[in-house]
Amino acid sequence: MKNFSLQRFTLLLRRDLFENWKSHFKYIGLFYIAILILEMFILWIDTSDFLEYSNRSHFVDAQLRQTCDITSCLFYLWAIVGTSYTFCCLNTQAKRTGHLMLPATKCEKFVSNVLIYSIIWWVGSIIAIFAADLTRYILLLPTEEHYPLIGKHMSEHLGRCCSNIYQLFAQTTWNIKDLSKILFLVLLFPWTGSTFLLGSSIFRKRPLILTVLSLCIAWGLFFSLSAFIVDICGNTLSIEYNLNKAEAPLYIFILIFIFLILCFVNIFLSYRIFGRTQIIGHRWWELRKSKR
Amino acid sequence: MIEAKEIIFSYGRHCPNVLQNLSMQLEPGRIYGLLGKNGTGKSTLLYLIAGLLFPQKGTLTFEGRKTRLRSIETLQDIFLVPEEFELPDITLSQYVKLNAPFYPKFDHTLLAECLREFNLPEALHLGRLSMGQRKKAFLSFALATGTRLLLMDEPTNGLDIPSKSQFRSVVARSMSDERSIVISTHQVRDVDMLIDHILMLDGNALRLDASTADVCRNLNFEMRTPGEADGVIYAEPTLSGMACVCRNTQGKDTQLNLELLFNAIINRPDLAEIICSDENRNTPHLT
Repeated sequence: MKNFSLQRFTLLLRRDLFENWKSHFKYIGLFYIAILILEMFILWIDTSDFLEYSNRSHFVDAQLRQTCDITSCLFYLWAIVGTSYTFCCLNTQAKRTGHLMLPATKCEKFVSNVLIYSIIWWVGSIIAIFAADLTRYILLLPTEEHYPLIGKHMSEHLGRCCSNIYQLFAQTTWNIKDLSKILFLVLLFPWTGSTFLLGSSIFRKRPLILTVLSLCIAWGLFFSLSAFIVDICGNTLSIEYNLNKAEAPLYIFILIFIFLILCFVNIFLSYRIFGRTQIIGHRWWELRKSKR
Repeated sequence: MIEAKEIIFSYGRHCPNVLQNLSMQLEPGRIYGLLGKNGTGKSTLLYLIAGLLFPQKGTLTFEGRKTRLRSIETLQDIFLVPEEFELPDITLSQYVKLNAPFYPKFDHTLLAECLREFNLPEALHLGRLSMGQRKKAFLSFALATGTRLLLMDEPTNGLDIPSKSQFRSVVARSMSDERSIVISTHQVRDVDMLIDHILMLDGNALRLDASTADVCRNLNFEMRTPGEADGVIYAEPTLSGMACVCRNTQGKDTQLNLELLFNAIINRPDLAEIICSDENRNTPHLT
């Protein structure tokens, strides 16, 4: 394919990773420290709930579960931070010049950036979680507070999530709440990721903060509009209805389709904005296809 | 090589045009000096040529391909040395190892020669260099890429006096019949011995597009006493008399004074027509 050469892509990936290894290492190190502090705090310092449990093993289980939950949330947030810095190679004019003049296609550069700040960033973060857990395990060995590694609990945690989704599918009747759960569990991560990717391509400076602000405004407008519509309809609009098992998959399929379309639109717009990047500020009308 | 047709460019809808109906052609085997006052669009023109800016109207092509598309073939044959650039915190050999494979005609021998000329060791750490050293290292890499078009924006900024002559030497060494170099600068004395074609921007248009040979064929640059005013087109006082630009009616060859020419064209726009006229094309030159 003329637009994509695997050999050049590998060179690009190697170049980006190697030239910025210190910065990547710094971010993974920060995450490692955050997880280590969190684990030490929950498993060693915060023993205030101990008396509520009948025996120590229950307490340990509860503590580990709590650690797993908080770590998962932190991982999710950290993954968003990573995605929102996908196009940090364009945040100064000097960086933009260097990146845009590099002999590789737009597609190769885009995929390379996305890969580094999504998959590789996530893998790095997972390694940091396990490294922090191992460090915590070693540090707490000499003390009386002995806790096992959280890897087992992590896999149990993941299993619980899958089981929840399965149980939702296995129900005979469905309601809007269940559908929202599915959407939340299955589609929130890719949709958020693609939204922050778009934010990264639009906002060259402070992409994380500005994307969060934009999302708050967008959601605020959406809910205000919804409330306004409900108000106009005089509360006659009821969304509390049950679906039977036969029609539920159709609704799920439609919702998944809509979410996937939204993800695709976000990724497509990011690519388009990235491909049309100039060394000066954005111009919105450049998103339109030019016939020049 | 490069063809610009009626380029119009501005930095925003409500901003005045930086370039207005600019048309020009760049030929291979030449070193172009892109001159102009501050804010006349020298860097903008370089960025447009490199495809880093898109013109509002007009087309800019490199070997028939639009530069704004930034196709792989174009990027492999154009290298831009911007005024401000960033280098990663790694050694030069690592930098070369990571970046040279992107340029099919990269010349490691030329890189070593340029580094030697600039008195830089090959075992350099790019993160620990002074601004001038970083510029020399980057210029060496740029020249070694072997691209057919090399664009340089204020390349002598930050270089000390010996480095400026070293720069001229490495640029001359890297030239070939296939290659074209565009040097944008307002420090005309740094490049006046190097360039063989002048592009002068003024008031959002290309005021002069002529070879140095044409300039010297049509004009003389002389020092005169204040009383000798015959044939003088433009003059300005200096400590040793009047620096004058005169019409070259006798086919004399004088050394090009780029700074004087620049001032003359700014003050006498009609001078460009005299330079580009074919009047003296067949006049024998006296030295």
